Amino acid sequence: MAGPKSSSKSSPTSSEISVAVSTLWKSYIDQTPDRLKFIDAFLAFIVLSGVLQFAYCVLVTNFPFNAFLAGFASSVGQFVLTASLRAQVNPENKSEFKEVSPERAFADFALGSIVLHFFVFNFLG
Amino acid sequence: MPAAYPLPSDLSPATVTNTASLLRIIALALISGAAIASRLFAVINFESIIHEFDPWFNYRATKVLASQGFYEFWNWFDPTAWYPLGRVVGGTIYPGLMATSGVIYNLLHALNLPVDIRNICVLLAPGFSALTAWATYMFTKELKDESAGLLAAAFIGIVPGYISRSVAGSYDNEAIAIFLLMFTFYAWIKALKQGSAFWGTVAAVFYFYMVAAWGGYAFITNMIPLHALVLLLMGRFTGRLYVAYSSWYAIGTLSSMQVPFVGFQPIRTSEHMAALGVFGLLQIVAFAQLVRAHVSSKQFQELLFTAVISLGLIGFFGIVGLTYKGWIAPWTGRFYSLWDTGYAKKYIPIIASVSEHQPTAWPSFFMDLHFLIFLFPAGVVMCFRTLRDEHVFVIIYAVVASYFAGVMVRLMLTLTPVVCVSAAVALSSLMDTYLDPTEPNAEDDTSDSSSTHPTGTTPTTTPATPATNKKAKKNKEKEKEKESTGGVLGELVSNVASSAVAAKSAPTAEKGVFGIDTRLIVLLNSLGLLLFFVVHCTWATSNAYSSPSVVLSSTGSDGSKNLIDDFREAYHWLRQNTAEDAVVMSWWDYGYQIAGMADRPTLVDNNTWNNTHIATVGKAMASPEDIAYPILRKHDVSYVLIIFGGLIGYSGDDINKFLWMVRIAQGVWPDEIQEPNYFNRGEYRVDSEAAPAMRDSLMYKMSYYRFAELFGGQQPVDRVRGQHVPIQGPTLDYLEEAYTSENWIVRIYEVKKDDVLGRDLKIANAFNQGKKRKRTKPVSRRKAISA
Amino acid sequence: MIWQFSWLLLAATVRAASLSLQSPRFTISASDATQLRSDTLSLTRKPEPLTLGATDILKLTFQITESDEGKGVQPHQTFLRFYDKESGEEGIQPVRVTPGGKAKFELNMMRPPASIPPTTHNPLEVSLILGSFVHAPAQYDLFDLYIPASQTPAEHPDEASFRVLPAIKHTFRPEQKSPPQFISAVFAAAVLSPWLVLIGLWSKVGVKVPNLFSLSIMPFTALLGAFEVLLVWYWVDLKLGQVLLYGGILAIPTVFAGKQALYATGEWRAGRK
Repeated sequence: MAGPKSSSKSSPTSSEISVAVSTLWKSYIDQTPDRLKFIDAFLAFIVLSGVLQFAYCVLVTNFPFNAFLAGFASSVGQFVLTASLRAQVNPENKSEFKEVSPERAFADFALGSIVLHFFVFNFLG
Repeated sequence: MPAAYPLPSDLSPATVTNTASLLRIIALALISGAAIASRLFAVINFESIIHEFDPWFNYRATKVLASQGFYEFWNWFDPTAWYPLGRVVGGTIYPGLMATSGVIYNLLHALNLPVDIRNICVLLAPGFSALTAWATYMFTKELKDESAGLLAAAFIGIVPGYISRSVAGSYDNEAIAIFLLMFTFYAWIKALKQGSAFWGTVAAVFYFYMVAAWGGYAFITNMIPLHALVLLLMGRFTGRLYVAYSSWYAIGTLSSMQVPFVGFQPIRTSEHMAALGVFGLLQIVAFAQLVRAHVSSKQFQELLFTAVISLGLIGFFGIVGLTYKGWIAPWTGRFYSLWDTGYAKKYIPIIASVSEHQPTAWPSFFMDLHFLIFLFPAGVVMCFRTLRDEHVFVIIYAVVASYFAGVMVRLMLTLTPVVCVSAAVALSSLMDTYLDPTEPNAEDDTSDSSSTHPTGTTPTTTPATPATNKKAKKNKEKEKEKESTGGVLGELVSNVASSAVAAKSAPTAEKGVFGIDTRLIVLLNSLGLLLFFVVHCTWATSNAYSSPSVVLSSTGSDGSKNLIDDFREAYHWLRQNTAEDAVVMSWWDYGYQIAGMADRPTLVDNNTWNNTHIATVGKAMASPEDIAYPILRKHDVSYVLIIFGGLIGYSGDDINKFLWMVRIAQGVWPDEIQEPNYFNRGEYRVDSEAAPAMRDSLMYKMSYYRFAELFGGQQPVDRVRGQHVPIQGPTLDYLEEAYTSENWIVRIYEVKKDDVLGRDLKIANAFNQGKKRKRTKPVSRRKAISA
Repeated sequence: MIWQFSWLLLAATVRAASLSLQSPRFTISASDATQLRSDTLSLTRKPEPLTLGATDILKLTFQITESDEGKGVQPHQTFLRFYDKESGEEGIQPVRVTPGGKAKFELNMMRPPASIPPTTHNPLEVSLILGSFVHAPAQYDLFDLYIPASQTPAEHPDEASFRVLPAIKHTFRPEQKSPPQFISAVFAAAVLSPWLVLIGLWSKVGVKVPNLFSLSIMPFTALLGAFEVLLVWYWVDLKLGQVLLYGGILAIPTVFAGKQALYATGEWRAGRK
């Protein structure tokens, strides 16, 4: 689901794989509508901040463990909610989500985010 | 089109729809009414009283919540429980139940309805059972159709397996947990069907409520990932699955960590790891799907290969590292006992000692579920025939819950909903087939009949609800719909009742039922079964499950009812006649009741968190007086309370529980307490043949102290054990009888204080009885140096 | 009450006649009857401490008289108390007194009575205690006594349960510390840095939001923002009940605004297609 994440996935063991990755990247750039790219940028942002928080926890301290968990869980939660939104508004998936129009998807996303943020702030201590 | 019986044909589709939905609402209301009413036997037969043991604690905690507010309750430290340790109540309970009644209480008071908190607690379980019926209706509706839903609601409303935990006064976590369980599952199914994050969020919120309410939430925590995993392995991964599972897990896990008692467990303990693993797996699969959409299959395979290897390595080292650092806690004992039924008995007698944790005896399946247990497999088979995603869920649920119900009696409760659901599916399919008015046309060729004669559908609500008047229009509608959708077997059919047979209509079109007589035979049979079910449920509820166990009842030879109120009598005596800080020692079963009704500190109670403390009590009960006395004094015990049923034949008394006390004490002091010492040649006896350790034990002495006096020189008989107790009863030196209730069920002993003259109490007692003291020469403290 | 007073009165009257000790005298002799030391005891001043060998015998004689008339009396109770001030050990030895008030006590160290306490290196203080119903009680400190060493006293059987326990020391897990401010700040900056990435990527993708400020969208966005503000406020200040209340109130307009906004968007989408 997370498009830009793919660039970090490449392992330079063989040239074939790097070719495959570049094809993937190209095809992604060409075929994805702007709306989805917009969402993907947000996803990349979430992944990045989640990774940084995790690095802080591992490298420095996990001291306010609940605060770390709240931050990290908000990253993960926001990521999956956004990824869900992306899947639902993706025109290619239209057949799968018959009952979920893009607007409904956004409403779901908003509700899910508010509930998630409520628990995050509750957990932050 | 041949029909087995005439149908009115002048009804508009709108009328039919409206009538059907009206009937459904009425039926649901009646089912709710029946569900609530049948749970009121306890109130009618006895009174509005809190039942059993745990509810007394919940009730006490709710009173604190209602009177002192939420934050006070949250920080409540109870110094009177587990004397002298105390208990941090706020952090060691599932507060969902108390919070629910607190909210209801405050709501009613805000509306100027001054309802007593006790009545709210007593009636909470029946109220929630109505909600459970509704949630089950919704769940089953997703599975089959409304008629099956109504059947399932009716079943769950009155099935004894659920009533046993939710009669009025049974104010326990399970009272609301089953509703939450069913509703979470319903929201999950709905989320999965629609691929909607909204329903995923709803599922997560109700999951949170469930976590806050009952320790059994782990069942959901593992059921939903299992379902997701099975769907994944069946090759049924869809974006819907991703959306539903991810939104449920992300929000649900975070929210479950808000409950202090659960804390960081969802990311630390093995029970929760399955959910996390499936979550990770779904992310990977979803990502792989995305990649596959963009590259050729050859390249995809290469990418997949590298990704799988690297991910496998990362995952392996991750798990090894986490286990090494001790981040993932090992499984808990209660969990082990689910897999190995002998485990608890061997290692954790305290878990095995609870009767709820025993394996289920097979008659209780029939007792609790009656004929549903026969329909249950049929319903599961019906699920296999359709096998949409939600049917897979029901099948997994059925298998898992059946196993667990066989292992532990109390888990019968989780089996009951799925039995009701699948039995309703089976019965409703039967009804559909036999109420269907269309007769098969044997002469028609099959291709023709499949398009023009779908085996229609029957919007049966309950068997008692006459539904025949709608048949004709229904079929017309159905045909129209079939034409418009081109015979596609839609998963979701918007029309009221037409989805039922849609899935199986085409292949069975040439089969069917002829005539009205065959229909009547089958239908009358099932009607009879249903009637017997109702009779059985009523009987089981009123006789077996409505006893508060705080008040007992017996029926006299002339049929008159006789209430035995010894418990409250004794607790009230404690409340009125003892110092407010007098510590009462009893076996842990009665801890909550003493705290709730007598308001006195207790050593141990039903929250069995400290095995050593319980073993200490067990040791005191199982030891001779002079060993037990220092234990009692060290714990500041003023009174010892025991339950003795020997006089009126109350079998749940302490002598029958005594072996568990011995076993638990043996677990901690294997040198001092040994179980075999309490048997006489392998027999557990209380008569003159009783083993010496048994005869000397404090429990035996307290139970039979002065028992013989009741029989006026005759040989006294213990009515529970059916044994003759010696005429010369035991004597007590260190304790004295303080109170014995009317029927001798509760006996309270006061622990004597030190003798004022500094004598040993045994010697002092002997002196008082006029026995001559043996002269002893004082021993010199001075010892000469021999060398 | 009157009964009690009468007892007090009685006690006051008898106090007049008190007991006194006449010619107290001690003798220490060896086992072969040779006299080692002998002296009269002064009741006001203690003599030099007496020392007994392992085989020596101490003899003590005295007479008890009424102080007024000088007539010998037999008190009801007569005890010798051996007391070790340092260790707190003591022994009480009854002494037999004749009706004439004469008493004789012999302490043979070959066979010491059971009441002699174990010895430490301190002397035992020996005192005489007289008790009587009709006379005022009396106590005389007689002398200090060194007796041969004995084994250290055995522990009293109740010693294990009745003694001062060491104070319980609670060991707590060390308080977890936040890392230095500098590192925190660096990582805070690092965690915030993805916002830059986000803005950069968005500007690159360049999505236009033409209708953001239209009348139908604006309330919805504003209400969603209000929700977030409420949640931050919850973190800072509010209590749970308040948040749920305000959130519930806020939810109603949000639902309507959301319906309106999303309906409008749906129309635009449909129109565009």
